[in-house]
Amino acid sequence: MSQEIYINGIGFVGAQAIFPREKTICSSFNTFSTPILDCQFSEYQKYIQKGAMRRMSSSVKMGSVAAKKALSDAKIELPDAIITGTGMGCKEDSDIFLANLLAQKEELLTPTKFIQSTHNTVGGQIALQLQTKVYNSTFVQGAASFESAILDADLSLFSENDEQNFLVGGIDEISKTTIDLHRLNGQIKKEAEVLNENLLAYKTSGSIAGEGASFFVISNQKNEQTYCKIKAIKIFNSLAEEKLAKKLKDFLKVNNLAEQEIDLLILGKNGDVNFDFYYDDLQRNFPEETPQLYYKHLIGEFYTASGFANALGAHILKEQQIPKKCVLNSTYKNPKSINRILLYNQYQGRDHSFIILEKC
Amino acid sequence: MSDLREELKYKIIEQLNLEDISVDEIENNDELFGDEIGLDSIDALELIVLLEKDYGIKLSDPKKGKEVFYSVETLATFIENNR
Repeated sequence: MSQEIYINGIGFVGAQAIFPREKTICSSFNTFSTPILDCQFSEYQKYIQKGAMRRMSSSVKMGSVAAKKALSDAKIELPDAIITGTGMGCKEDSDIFLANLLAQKEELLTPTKFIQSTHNTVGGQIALQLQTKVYNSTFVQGAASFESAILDADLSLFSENDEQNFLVGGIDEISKTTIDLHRLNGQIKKEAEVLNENLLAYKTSGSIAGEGASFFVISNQKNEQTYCKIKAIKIFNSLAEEKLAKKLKDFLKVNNLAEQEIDLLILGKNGDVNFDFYYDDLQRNFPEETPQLYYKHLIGEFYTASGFANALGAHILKEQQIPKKCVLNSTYKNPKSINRILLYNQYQGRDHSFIILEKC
Repeated sequence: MSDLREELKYKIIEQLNLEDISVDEIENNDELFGDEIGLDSIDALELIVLLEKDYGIKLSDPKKGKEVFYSVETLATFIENNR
């Protein structure tokens, strides 16, 4: 990173509950038996005005709540920037607008669905709700969208010495059309019943689909709310399997680290036999005692799912506890102290990302 | 005559996604854009499209919008006089 940046607040809405600071990440997780994991949050009216909510699609609602939760977690009222990442944007409203466009032969189209269908709707709605005109940007970079938002926070905005607090998040929602398309191209498992806790046991093509919004207050100042530091981040939009180990080594070397100095791995393994070999390969580079975790069985696969991994890692560093339901390797040993976590994610063999989180 | 007013109430609720309002709660003379129903400028655009799509009536003079969309009653009267 260009300087030291800290995670001071977290909010997540999706198939699992928001992480409240007072509860441990190791508390119970929701379980599912279908290949589609919808957001389980329903108390939107506590966070969003009724009048505003009637036009909001699920991603806007999820994003608004996660953003407010992160701000409140960090004890910040207004951020100095709002930076979002989304792989597919507001798909529900895009689906409806395009369907109307076809049905009505491009005439008599109503404005609401168009206004709400753009990728930056979530960032815009958060700003409207907070009544702020600070820097507001949205990154649409496939499965590296969330990581791109963090990079922007680091590279473009942290040039000042004054305390700066940026609201950075990733949002993606489920829509019927996308689910149909992802079923067609094999991204979703064909099994009608998929027990999420046994996701890796199926050994079949595809994964389970999910949705969610993860928001973070990222700051250049450490304080009593700080979870951890973001030490490094790297994105590879395309990466051949045989180059992964070399890229990992280079990434660690640039950050003056060896594999043994990584205390825990969080991997985006999603049970798709066509692409999970990337994670298998990466796992082989680390000692078998190193705890290796996965998380997509909890929230499903989506373009910004790695935001959940970021939240999971931050909680683990803060709480020094490993959620057993996420452990991949039975050979792991509890480290004396969890000081450093490596996150690795890829989507369908593309958009590979490494993030290192470090204990403060 | 009252059928059109009921129909408009259903359509307004559906088109504008007024989740917490039922047909029974909208009186024919309630102010649509005032405190009672609380519609806004985006809703006005939705209503203009609804008028043209469902009733074939184009609001040629935008200045008339305020008068036409004042209430379900004024909207129904405008439709009855122009279709």
